[in-house]
Amino acid sequence: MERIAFRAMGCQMLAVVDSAGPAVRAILAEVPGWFATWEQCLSRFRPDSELSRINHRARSGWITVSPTLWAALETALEAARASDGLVTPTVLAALERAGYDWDFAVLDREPEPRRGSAARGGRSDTLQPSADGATLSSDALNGTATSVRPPARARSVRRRRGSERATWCHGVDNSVPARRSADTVRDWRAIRLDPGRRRIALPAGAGLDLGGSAKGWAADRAARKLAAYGPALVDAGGDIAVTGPRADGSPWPVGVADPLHPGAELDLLLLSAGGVATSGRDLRRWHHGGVEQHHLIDPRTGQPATTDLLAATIVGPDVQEAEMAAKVVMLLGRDGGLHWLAARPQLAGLLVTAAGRVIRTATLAPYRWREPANAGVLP
Amino acid sequence: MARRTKTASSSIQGLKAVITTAAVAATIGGWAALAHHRTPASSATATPTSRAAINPAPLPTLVPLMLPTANTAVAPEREAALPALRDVQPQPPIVERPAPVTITRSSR
Repeated sequence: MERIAFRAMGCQMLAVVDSAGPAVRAILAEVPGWFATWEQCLSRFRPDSELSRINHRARSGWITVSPTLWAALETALEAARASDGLVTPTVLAALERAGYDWDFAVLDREPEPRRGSAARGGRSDTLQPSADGATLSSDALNGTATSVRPPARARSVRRRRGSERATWCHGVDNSVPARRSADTVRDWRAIRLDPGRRRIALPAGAGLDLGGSAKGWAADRAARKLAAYGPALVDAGGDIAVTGPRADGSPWPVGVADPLHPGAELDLLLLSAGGVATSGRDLRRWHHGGVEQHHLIDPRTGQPATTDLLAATIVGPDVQEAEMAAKVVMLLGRDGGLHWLAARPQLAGLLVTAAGRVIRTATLAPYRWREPANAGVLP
Repeated sequence: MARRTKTASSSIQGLKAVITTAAVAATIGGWAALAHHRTPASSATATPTSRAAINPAPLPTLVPLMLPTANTAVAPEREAALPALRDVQPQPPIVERPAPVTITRSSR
């Protein structure tokens, strides 16, 4: 089994091929380059990316796009269709209004006294429960993304005192009160497509953010390319695609992180096909105008979703559907999310509420690894 | 003349007694000899064969639903005569928890 780990798209990536040989090692060595190319095309944080150029040209008529951007946009719009618009790429304005106009990878590189492990080049996942029962993170990363603006503008980590349970989070504080702005999320159906000429036309104010679907798209695409060399798994920041069972016929064991207990796992899933993805508000939180924000925008309100869930993990027929479903469940909350999942038996879910309760759908049972009964007990 | 007739009659009576005694002795001796004589094997096997031909065993009316396979065992008829064995439950295979290849979590 050969593997390569690297950082891209502001996340930790992993590609594994259950085979050996120089050809496998050679193709794995190319994977970071694939992701770098895709990120250069799809990142909204890079002013010279194709996506940024298109966003600047909204309302200017038809724009011919690259095959990569076309494919990623198709995935994003399919997610919008499948979720009735809950997961939409037209949330750029709402994200920026909420203060998420910086790449976390850039913020994590900024020196900060409490982040000694980051300065040493290591990881520091110091999840600490906050007063409301949620968890926040100081996530030290070695990101590779470039910055749109000088890092000095970012106040990378903002500490909120008041009790011994100090709260840490990524921070961009523009000191501008957030406004209730449902109108900042344009209807995804207003985007016009010309498949014959591979052209798109964005209406005014419909800036695109592909962060809600690009990682799943990239994981799926990379896994498909690696499948020619053997059974493959690609993990794009927690969005995981597998091409089939491992070489010996066994499934891929994939852990589900416990958002409340760093280093612990809630489950071990066994995947022989499809994908799994997790969405959550345990990470990627910041303060804006004195209000805690997170990156899951509810297009119905135009603001970070108010949800009673802390994280949702979904197993699906493919990683793109799993990624979309995880976000939908987060936006709908526990009851709404379970109802939505019940109508889709091809999906299996593990939900963690803000109070720490873990809820599993019945469809998750076939994927869960269980301790054999009486294992290791001698008569 | 009368003396000769009387003598002849007495001889005949003696001969009859001898013959009678010999017959009785031969009969008793024959019974004794037969009583100690072993029965030939061929005669013992002949009896059931002839009996089965006259009264054949009934045909079975119950057919087993599952034929014995490699995973099933048929208890021998003499098992009841063997010493009682401990009732042992089969142990499931011990499978160790596989180490996760990776972990899904919210993006970081």
